[in-house]
Amino acid sequence: MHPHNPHESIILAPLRVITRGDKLLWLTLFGVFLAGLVVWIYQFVLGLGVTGLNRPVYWGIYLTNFVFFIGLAHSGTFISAILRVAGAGWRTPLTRAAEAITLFSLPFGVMSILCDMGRPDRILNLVFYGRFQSPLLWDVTAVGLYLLSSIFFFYFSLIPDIALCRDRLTDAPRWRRRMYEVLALGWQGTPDQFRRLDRVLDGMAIFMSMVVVTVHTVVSWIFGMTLQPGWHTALIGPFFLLGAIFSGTTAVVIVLAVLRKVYHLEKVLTPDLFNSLRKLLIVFTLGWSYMMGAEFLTTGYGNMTEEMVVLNDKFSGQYAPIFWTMVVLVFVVPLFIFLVKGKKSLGWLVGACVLVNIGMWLERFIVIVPTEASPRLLPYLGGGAYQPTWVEAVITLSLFAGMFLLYAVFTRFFPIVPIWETAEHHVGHAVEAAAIAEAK
Amino acid sequence: MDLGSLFNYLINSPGIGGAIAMTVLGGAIVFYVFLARWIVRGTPARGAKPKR
Amino acid sequence: MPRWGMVIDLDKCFACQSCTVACRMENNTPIAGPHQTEQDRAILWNEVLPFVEGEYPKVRMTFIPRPCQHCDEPACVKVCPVKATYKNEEGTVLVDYERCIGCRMCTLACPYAVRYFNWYPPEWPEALKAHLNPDPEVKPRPAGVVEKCTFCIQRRRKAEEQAKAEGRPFTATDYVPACVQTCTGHARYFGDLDDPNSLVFQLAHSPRAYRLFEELGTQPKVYYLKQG
Repeated sequence: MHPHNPHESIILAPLRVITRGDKLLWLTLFGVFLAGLVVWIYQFVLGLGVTGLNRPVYWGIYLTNFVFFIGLAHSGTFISAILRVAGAGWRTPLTRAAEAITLFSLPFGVMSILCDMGRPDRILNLVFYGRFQSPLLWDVTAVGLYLLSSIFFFYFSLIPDIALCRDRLTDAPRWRRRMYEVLALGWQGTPDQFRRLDRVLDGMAIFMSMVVVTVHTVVSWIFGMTLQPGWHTALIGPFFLLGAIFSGTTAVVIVLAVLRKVYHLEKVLTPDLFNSLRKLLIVFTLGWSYMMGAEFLTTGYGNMTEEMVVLNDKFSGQYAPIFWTMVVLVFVVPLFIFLVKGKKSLGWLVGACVLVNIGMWLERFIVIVPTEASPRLLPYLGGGAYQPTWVEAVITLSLFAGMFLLYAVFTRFFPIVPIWETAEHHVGHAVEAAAIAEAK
Repeated sequence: MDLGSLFNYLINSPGIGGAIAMTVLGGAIVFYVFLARWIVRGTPARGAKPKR
Repeated sequence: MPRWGMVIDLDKCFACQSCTVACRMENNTPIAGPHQTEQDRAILWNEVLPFVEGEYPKVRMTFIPRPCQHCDEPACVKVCPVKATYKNEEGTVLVDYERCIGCRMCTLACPYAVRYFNWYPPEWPEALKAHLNPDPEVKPRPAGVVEKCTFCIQRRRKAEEQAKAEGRPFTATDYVPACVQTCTGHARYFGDLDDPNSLVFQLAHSPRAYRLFEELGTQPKVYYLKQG
């Protein structure tokens, strides 16, 4: 029925109570989200002129948020899909927490784009008049497919635990028990059902790994397919992809550390896990700096005029402060912490991950805005500048608040650590589970 | 119409792109719902009523 | 089918900006006002761009009037997700204001910065409101859509209707955009680039002729005759 897991009561404990602190948190987050909605309506009525966007900086904070949220989403898929395919058994306690980041950040990525459109009321034009030559249609298809697949991938791996909640949380209010009943789809936990579930998750893991690579590459191509200096580089796809996996994994570390503290999951989310993630992060930060180095060396050595203007703007011009802050936050300080301090101290590790996330948000900004501010016609037009307004700040905050809200509420209704996947005798892979059953 | 201009037509025509996107997404939903049912119910044996 | 192109003689242009003004009056472009213009929000379908080379005392000024280049391989058309911008059979690149979703990818794809976005609903000072062009094809655009130079497509339609009313065939010399008609220095020429007898064809093949950013492969149809 339900595989035996000695940590079951620890993992279910957070679901048995909703504290006043929770309600206050949810209310606050909801308030911020609502504020963003109101401000967006204000923007829709008055026009995008209320932002700091202008000519030539037509895309700014909203697009930065879009890329950032989609990047965050890659964390979950990386942990639960790519590592599953790689057979990394240590990932099992993390998969749901990581996938939840994916599930709850993707919708806000999509919302970021809606906030940026001049005529969001005409969104259905994408369906009726969509042209596949446009990178934006590739985005719609890829991100849409990613969102759908993530929802189902997440739901499928949640089913056995929903059934567990249905059977164990008998004290819960009626509506909540009914919700578990409906969502459990009549799951009985028979060996056949587990076998089919593992097969589906294996297959979807492979598919999701391919989708992940496609999605962020396609997202980068809305920049890369234009002829703008600094954007039109073949490296932009891999660069965005690695950046996404990198920032996503740091987000996973932060979320896990918070959950571990708040829900007392120290026995389940062990230091070993964080150590494995730390080693991955070292690889990622080195990989990211490799790509940055390759890009800038190639650009700088080539010395093409319009590209050098953008490069110099980032290195020593208008955007130098943001650029160098980014380098320090994404590479210099985190690498030091990952190598030296992070092994012994979870606090330092999480701190480094927070820095990386802030730095990666800045990195998206640095990719997008300086290129726009120095267009090819620069000698004729003069340079551009971008001063975001309170409208963009409030909407950005509200999107993050929305994501945190969904995540926080979720953790009180469903177990954030997969109980069935971390149970004894469950190795998270259909073939091996069948072999173990055979051997018994 | 040769293959080249057919490809051009599919890529460029408004509406066809939207149809492609919606087919992919719609097909995915249908497939995943089917998968959900299959996970829980399995493939019913021929002739026998599916046991739950 | 004529393939409309333009030639601008930089020796004759002295940057009076009459073309810019005429374009605005003909096409009902909204007035951004001084504050918005400072924020780089002004919409100028035709712009006269200054280009300064060298340092004092050896300074050289060039003024480039820059309408939409109406490229034969337009970067903007490629990226539009809904075909709100398209090239018609005569090679003119147009915008469907009813369909545009305001994503602004086209504004970023264009290397010539000819495309503009309506950041606010359109506004004019009271004095100018009485002088808006009543032609429905240049009806003021709402906020949230992209707009740009159309080679005054409404004049092409009017010229064809005029010719039909007068019972004669429509020829390529019957229609010119407002900027060409107004140019004080007679620096702008317009016509059928496919007609070897037309003035634009001959000027476009002159040794002084060049196009902006030719290396990008956009095949613009606005030719400039080199200064000096």
